[in-house]
Amino acid sequence: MPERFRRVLLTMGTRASFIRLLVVAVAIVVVFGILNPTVFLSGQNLQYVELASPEVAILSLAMALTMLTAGIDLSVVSIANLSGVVAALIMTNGHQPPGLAMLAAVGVALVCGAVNGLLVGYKHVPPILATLATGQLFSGLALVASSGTVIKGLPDSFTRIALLTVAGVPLIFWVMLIAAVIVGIVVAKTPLGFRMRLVGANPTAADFSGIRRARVLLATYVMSGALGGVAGLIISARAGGANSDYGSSYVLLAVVIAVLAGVDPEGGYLTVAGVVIAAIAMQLLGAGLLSLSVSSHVVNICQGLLLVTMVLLNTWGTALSTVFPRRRVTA
Amino acid sequence: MANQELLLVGLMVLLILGVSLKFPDFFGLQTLFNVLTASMVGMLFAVGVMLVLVSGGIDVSFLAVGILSAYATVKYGPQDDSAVVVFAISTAIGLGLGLLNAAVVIVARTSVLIATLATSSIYLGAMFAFIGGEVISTLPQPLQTLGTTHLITVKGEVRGTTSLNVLILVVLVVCVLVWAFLHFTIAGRSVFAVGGDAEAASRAAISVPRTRVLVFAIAGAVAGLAGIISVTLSGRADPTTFMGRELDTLAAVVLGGVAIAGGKGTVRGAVLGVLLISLVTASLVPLGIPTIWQRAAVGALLIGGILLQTAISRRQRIRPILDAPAPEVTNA
Repeated sequence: MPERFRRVLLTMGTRASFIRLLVVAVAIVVVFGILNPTVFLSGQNLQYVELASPEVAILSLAMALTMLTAGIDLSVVSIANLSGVVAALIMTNGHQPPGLAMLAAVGVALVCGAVNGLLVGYKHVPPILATLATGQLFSGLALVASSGTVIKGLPDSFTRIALLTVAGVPLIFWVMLIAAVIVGIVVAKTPLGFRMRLVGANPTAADFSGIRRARVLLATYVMSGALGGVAGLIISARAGGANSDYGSSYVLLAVVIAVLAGVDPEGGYLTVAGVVIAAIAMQLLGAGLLSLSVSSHVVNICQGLLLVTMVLLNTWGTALSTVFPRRRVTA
Repeated sequence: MANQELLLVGLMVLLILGVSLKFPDFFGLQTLFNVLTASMVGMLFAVGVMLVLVSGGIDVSFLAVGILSAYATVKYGPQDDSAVVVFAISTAIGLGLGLLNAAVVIVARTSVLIATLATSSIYLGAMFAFIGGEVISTLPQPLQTLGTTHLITVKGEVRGTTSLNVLILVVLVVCVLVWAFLHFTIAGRSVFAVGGDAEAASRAAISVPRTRVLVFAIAGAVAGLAGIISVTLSGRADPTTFMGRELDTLAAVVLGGVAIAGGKGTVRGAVLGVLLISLVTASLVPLGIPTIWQRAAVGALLIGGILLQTAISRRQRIRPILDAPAPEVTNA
């Protein structure tokens, strides 16, 4: 059993960065719990965090997946918005049922992801460039499709999705957990995941070991796109509308969360549990600061400071531990 | 001129020719002034971003630096001093923020992208939380005067006049200065060396941290200047002006052939990239394409540009110097 437990831990990441993330998350809960227990520890606040984190967490998962292969997906929010707009148009102008609209939205997201994958994998365009360009294209298309307005009047059967709860937890939170588990299984348990890690860790070695890098990258960006599509549906269900430039700051937030989680931007390492925890921790931090009725802009400052602190710790953590030696843990 | 830049010029000529065939009036000073005015601020930001890119990093904090410097200057700066003082203050604030960026990058030994992501949200947050978020619509008197001081004013073909603000000279001077810095100073050449290969540069006795600090200081100062110019031109200080537009400038710079991985790029390319995007925007309406298509058009253009860039750079394989001369027959 301990061996098994250790292996489960390993798939979640037993890196020092993961432990630091846990410490930070717990610290946020404790600090705000003490500072303002009546608001921060209330059920309402918990509900808010449960409702607000899924979209951010899923976008961060998409970002983290591409980082695993030493890439980045700057177009993921544009994909989310484009699929949200497509779904909204199908439901309002096309009068089709939400199920069909959602399928179409995910289909659009898959196509967008495939475009990224083709550029990165088969055309050897650096990921940051490829997704920067496609991001402009996708959000431009979303802008045209929505004629620059917020598409309103979504059917109740669609917006209700954001309000449904299953076993006391919002449905969209379950969706996030399911997406995380799927990503986790793909990355940790499947041959594709193994290849993705190898491509990220050492592309040359991957080439020489007969991995078809282009295919692996295509699959990665298609997955990332699909996650973006799901996030887009959650966003428009929650907002009750779709818009071409919703949450443009989410791109940067997704990178922040992935880095906080300890995902290595140089590739080769991904911790799904870390991403989910980091996304929730960021929401908790935001909710906590707001519960102290500070300006919402202080939240920005704190998120930035948190990122700097984590990066500093990741860089100097090992140096610190030689200054303050710890008991050696036998592996 | 590099292939990419020739391509940009070619595209611009094609675009101008195409629109002019339909509307002969398009080919004139009015369009030139409109495009230049629309590109002024973008050019400065692009030059700063280009510098950091060449040194090997992606700066996403330039807009936050620009607007924070300008906004703080307008709010707390002297109200009746000469415009030069106001501009100097904003530039100095930008320089300070750039140094802060450099400190984070160097001390945390992290990528520029991640460091500037963090500082950018800190700068913007600090501006809204501690300086304020309201639009200042009455600028200090000297800035108001400057905003309406035009270098040339021409009468429109049909009605009205089009003017070119005198600040275009400032933009030009900065571009030339940065170009001269990159090409004629040892520090400038080291920027390319560091961006190409930091390890190789440091073994060639180039101080990598010192070069980084210099690059961020210049980029910050240029961003601070761009911010105050933007405020002067628009006649109001709106802290939300640039929000979420980082990728637009990056796109222009990349279009100009600046390598995202560092070590390669020119002021000319960055400026051409910005000009091309402004020209595309200016041509959409005469071509009968709704302006709403601008973003998608730029995206498509960008994809074409980078596909070409990648194709070119993959054809020119880098060969180690010590290798034998390239064989006559190259295999595909």
